[in-house]
Amino acid sequence: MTEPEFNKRRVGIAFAVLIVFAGSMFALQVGGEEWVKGISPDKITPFSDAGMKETFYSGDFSYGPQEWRPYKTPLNISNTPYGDNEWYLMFVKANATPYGGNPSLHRRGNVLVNYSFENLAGTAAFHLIGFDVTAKCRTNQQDGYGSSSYYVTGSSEAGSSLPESSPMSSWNNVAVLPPGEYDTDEGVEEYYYFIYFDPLSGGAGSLHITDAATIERIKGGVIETTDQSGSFYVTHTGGSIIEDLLIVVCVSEVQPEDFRLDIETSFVRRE
Amino acid sequence: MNLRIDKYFSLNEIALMSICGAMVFVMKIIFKIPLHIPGHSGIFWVIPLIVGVSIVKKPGAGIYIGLISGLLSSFFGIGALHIFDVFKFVGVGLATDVCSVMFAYRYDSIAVGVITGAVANIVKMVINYTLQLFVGVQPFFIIVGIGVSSFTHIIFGGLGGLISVLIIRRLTRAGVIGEKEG
Repeated sequence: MTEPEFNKRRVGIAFAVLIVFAGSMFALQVGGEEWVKGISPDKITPFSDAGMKETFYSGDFSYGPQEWRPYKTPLNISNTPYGDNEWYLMFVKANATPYGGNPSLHRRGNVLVNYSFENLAGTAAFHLIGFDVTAKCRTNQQDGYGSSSYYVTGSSEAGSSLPESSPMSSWNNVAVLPPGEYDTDEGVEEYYYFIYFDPLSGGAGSLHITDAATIERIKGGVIETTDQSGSFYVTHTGGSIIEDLLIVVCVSEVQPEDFRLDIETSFVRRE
Repeated sequence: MNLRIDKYFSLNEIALMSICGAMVFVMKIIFKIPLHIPGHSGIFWVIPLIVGVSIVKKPGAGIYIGLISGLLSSFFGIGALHIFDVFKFVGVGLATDVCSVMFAYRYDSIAVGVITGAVANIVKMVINYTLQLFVGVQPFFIIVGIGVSSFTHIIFGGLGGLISVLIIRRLTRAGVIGEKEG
């Protein structure tokens, strides 16, 4: 057999193997889709749907004063300045994640957040930071189409004691520690979350805040209220899958000693 | 048999393969196109791999280039798999070596380039998915889409291989690379 013939034969076999491989992968995909359709949606849960119920106090605002929240570049906590526009932040573990993508892959649903403030001074803002399966972060859009956030204005006097907080060292590639202790089966856990927004890919606009008035719009809106107790939904759109979720609670004033914030989260199935 | 790397590869070859390994890493970073098509980066990163292997023409050249690019990817954390990127790129290098030996380093042939590029890209996909399963990603996330993903990996890897052959031909014609002595 001459060399060109020898190569031609191997080339033919190699192309055939590639075609057979691609064909078998298509067959696997078709079979897999049928298999997924056969699974009850309730068995395909979000990454986390346990929810949580916690109380937070003025000392839990560990970060700030600062005007911005984490992203690839600093994002305004509020486009409308409140007070001196110097905010104190805490990152609360939601213990539940929303999913709005392919219903064949996952149980679709939102995270319902019930909040209740006592003695809130100034304005409180809620934002979101989600972690996808590759540990890259997502957040709610700040400006333009699809922007969403939630603001609650209180009427208490600002606190007088100096807060034990310091501004975040950076808006990206930065570790944050959620407040409090979280009791789990394994005991008390306290984990730093590493916030990383990929400079080369998206990161804003797949997580949204909606309330009863804006729930029809999955992308939510900028909601302002003076109700000290209420609820909103965290919704999700796009192809990413959120593995973990932090609720960023920001307050525009130093909170008084008797400040209290109750947060309860739960996963709500979306039909 | 002497298996020392500095005896097996000449200093020039080691330098060239190291540059090619770094180029694979650079290609993955610089040419990050938001196409959202699985495997599209294969059109770029297989080029330095195939060009490097075709110049050195020794089994193991692909593994060396893959090791360099895998180590760089791991240290700089460009991929989601971090340290496991080493396995991914070494696997890709091994696949390139196997193809090269099988086709006697005939990278003047477009068919050989296309096959090597496609195989390298598809091997990367298979190792990627295997590692994802290993770290606990649910199988249905991978299965739903694996057919389309295989197809696009073959196409883009094949296109990268085609470009590699065109570059190798031009370099040969220009006298930059040629038949190895000894």
